[in-house]
Amino acid sequence: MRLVSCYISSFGRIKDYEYRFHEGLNTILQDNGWGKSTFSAFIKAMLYGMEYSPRTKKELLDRNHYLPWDGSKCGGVLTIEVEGREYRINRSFGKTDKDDTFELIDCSTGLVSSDYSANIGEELFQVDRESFEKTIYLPQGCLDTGMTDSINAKMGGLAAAKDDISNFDGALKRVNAARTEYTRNSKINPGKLTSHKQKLSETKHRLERLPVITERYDGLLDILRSHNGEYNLLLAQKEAVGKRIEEQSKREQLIGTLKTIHDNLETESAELEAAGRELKKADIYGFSRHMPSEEDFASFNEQITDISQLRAKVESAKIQQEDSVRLEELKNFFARRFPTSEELSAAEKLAVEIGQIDIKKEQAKENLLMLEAERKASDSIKTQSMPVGKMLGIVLLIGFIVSGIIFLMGDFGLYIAATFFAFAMMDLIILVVTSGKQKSDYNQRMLNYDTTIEQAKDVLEELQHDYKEKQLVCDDFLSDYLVKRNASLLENIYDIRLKLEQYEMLIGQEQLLSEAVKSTIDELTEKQIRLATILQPYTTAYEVDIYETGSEFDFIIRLKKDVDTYRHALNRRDDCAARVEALKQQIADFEKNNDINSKTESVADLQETLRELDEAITDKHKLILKDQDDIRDTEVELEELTELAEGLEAMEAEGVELRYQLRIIESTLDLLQLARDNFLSKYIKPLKDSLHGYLGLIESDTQANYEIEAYDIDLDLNVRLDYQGSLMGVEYLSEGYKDMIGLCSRMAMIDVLYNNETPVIIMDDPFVNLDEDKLASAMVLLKEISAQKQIVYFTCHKARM
Amino acid sequence: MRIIHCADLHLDSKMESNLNKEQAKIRRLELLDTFERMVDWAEANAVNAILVAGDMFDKGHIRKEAKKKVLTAIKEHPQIGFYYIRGNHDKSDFIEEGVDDVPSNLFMFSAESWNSYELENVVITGVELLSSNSGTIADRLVLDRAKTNIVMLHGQESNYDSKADAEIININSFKDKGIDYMALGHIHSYSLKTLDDRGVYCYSGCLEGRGFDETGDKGFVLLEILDGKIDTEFISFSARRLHEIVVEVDKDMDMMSVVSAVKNAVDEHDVDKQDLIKIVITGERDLDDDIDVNRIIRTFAENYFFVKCYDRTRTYIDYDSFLHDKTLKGEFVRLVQKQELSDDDKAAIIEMGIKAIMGEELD
Repeated sequence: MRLVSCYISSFGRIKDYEYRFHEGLNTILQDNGWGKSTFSAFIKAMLYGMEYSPRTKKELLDRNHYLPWDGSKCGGVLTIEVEGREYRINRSFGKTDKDDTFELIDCSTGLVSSDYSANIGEELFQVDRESFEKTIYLPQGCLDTGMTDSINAKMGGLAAAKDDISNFDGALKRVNAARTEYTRNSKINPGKLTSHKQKLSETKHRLERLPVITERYDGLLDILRSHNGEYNLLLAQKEAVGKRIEEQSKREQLIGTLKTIHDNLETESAELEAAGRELKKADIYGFSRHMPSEEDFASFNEQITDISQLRAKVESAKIQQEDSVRLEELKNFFARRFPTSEELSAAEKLAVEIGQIDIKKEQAKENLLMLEAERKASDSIKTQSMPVGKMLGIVLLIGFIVSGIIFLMGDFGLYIAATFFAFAMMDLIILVVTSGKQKSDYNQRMLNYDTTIEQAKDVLEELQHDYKEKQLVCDDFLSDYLVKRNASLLENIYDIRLKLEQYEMLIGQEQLLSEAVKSTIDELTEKQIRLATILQPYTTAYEVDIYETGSEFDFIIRLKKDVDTYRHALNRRDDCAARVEALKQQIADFEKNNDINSKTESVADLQETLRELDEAITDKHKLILKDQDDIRDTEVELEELTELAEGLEAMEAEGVELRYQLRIIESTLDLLQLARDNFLSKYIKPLKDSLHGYLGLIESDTQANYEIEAYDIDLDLNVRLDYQGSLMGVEYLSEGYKDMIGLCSRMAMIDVLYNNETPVIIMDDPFVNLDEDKLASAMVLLKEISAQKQIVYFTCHKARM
Repeated sequence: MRIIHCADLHLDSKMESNLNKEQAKIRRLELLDTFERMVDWAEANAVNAILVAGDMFDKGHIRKEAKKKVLTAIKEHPQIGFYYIRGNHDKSDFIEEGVDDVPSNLFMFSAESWNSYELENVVITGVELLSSNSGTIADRLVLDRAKTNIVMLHGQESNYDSKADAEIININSFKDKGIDYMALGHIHSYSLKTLDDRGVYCYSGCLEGRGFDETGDKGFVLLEILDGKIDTEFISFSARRLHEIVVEVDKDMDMMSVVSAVKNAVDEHDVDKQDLIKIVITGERDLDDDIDVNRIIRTFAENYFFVKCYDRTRTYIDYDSFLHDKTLKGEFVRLVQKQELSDDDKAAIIEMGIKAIMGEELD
């Protein structure tokens, strides 16, 4: 690219200025303050536009620096030649980039061209504004270069890598940021690996307690186990004591029982003695020597039954007992004499008559009494008060009279009253008549009564006399017999007749029966004798003659009873003896099996021991509960730590993974850096060679004893001097020499950077600091460069032309 | 007679680490619930005994709640005998002598010698395997051949003795000893193999899978013993099953195709909605492509109890394409290729570097 011409309409202090460029060196000699920097800035602005950023401070922006103060339009025209074609760039600048204008005219056609945009500088040179400034423009004292992305990209001539390089810093930053994400040491926001390490460290630190807690837990379990063992031991002791209490209770019970047995033995012995006496007593009839057995008694009873049957037969041959008794009674009754039938008949007749007389007598008495009572009653009638009829008559009379008076006095008339008075008169007459008749009747009646009464008395007397006589005869008859006093005469006579008949009947029966039983009696006698003989040992002892008395049955009963008594006494004695033996055996066994004399704790003592054990058990239980509480508390932490321990492996695995990721990141970072270095190192050599080439153009004595080869240029385009093995920056050199080196490095960079499109180089009096010698060298250098490149060289001094 | 053979219950242990807190709690409780269900099933099906061939627990301290549940289940079924042999993980405080009441229907074994329990004509014999006895226990086993003999052990089957590893069961040494059935524990999957002419040996597997290394059907073995003959049947009993489903993808598949492939693979597996799934995407993908694991999880998460997904694809890097790539990216890839790193590391570094260069977010 070559500058052809420019027209500055207004840019900074330069106004309406035109200049035509030619190839090679274009020297512009102007005084300081003319605007050389402004001119350079204009060229840059026409190619790259002017930077605008609201955030950048105004004083730092070219726009604010170069906008005309008078407000005139800032801009101009720049004509350039690119690959043989001329273009005219028309540009104006406002306060902001939005106010800027750009027009590209193809000079050959005069038409607007779209071959390049407003970013024509970058499109032509493939470096950005900054890089352009750092390469093309050489201001006073500002020859440092430094590396930028676009310079790097340009040096490769690799437009396609622009994306790579433009993001390279970002890529490194991202990878670095990714690494920081892992390694950041911030307390507030630590990196993943840092955080993980912390967490792992904390976990491990906490887990250091695990063996302690486990040991503590095991220890507590041991203690609990021990306490449980002691508790169980106490329980066992309690059980043992309980058993001992039970045994001792039994023992004491047995001892008590033994005492009871002794007492019982004593009692039983006494009873035995009593039984013995009783037996002896019961043996008064010698049962100990001979005692009939039950079979004997059965035989006796059989015999007695036979005898009884025979006797019954005999008895039955006799009249019945009651008949016998009755006969006996009758005999006693007729002990004085037996009455004849005629005597009995006569007595009966008398008795009947007496009975009749008695009846008559009673009748007569009653009659007499009745008469007397009637007489008395008649007599009383006279003195009685007026009979009821008579009274009624009087009342009616009064009534009729009163009614008559009333009717007379009233309005009912005289007729009615007269009727009533008439009735009253009639009633009065009747009353008088009846009274007279009554008196006469009374007198007659009295007389009759007296007569009747007398007659009745006579009759009665006669009857009484007759009665007495007959009664005497009967009494005489009955005096031979014991009759009932409260029975009547006739009853007694009938009784005597009945008794006589009975006597005669019974005596007849008795005689008949006694004839019929003679053989039976013999048999009976025989059996009686036999039985008596058998029972003789016993009857002798009893001093009883059963044959005579016929009391076999009673005897046997008595004998049986006594034998039973004896046997009972014997059994009782034997039982007593057996019980006594048993008791003695019990005592012997107990004494054999129990050391009753040994000293053992009493139940009371054992219970005291038991109470103490219960207290100990309660205390132990409380201790165990406390142990369990301690264990529970420890368990909580143990469980937490166990969970942590379980997670440790996973956490460590996570750490391994994180470290691996970090390793990859760091490797990526290193390799990216290395790739960058390698990438760039391919292009640094040409840069160095070019630098050395330009340094070689400078006179050797200006090198100040430094070999050209000692100069190095690094990846950041910083020139260094290898001085005695150490790389020194050029800032240690003089200003003039620094400028020379800066110029050479800038030229070298331009050579490498702008392989295809060689831009114009704008130098704004870059040699102002050089001395004469160096200036001469610089001029030589300038001449050399201008042979290859278009240079616009500003200076304010002819000496530097 | 009916007997249940189960093992490796690992009750109250930690579950799959990717479950959220709530899910992990549910699964932990389900371990215990499944045990209780098994005991209830045993009662309902007139089972006389339950053999637990080791690893009922696997940690030193058991939570009180878990201990109480297990003991209650045992005590509430006094008609069922529980025969419990401790395993290599059973170093727990489940039954503390002198502290806990041992249920009368819980029968345990020791390491000192073989213990036998008679159940009608069946004899259950067992011993706890230790390094001190593992070499000699077979020789010390004496059984009455007239009985139906069940032997319980917990350890790894092997054809040789090993002094180093205490849990080795030399199967050959138990042949021709009159064993009808060896009830084994330690291996968490069901297997039934012939021991000798008379008997078999069986690993019942665990009751519930706890992680994705324990996939498939889990449960217990039901033994029906009649006239001395033992018939066995595996009863699948777990509340949930775990499935690891590997899905192969290639670099030409887009995300929709990947999801579709996953769906087909899941459908082909016998997965129930209460199950847990681990999806592993394998195969190759392009450097610029990512397997959206979260999208896959979201697609299936609501249909199943738990879904996790791993991207195990290899990043396909066409190194040749970068051979003449003059860009920094090309320089970077060529540089990584030359490093002495594993292919996976190289792929990861390249992927990250390219993402960073392209301005993408880095995971």
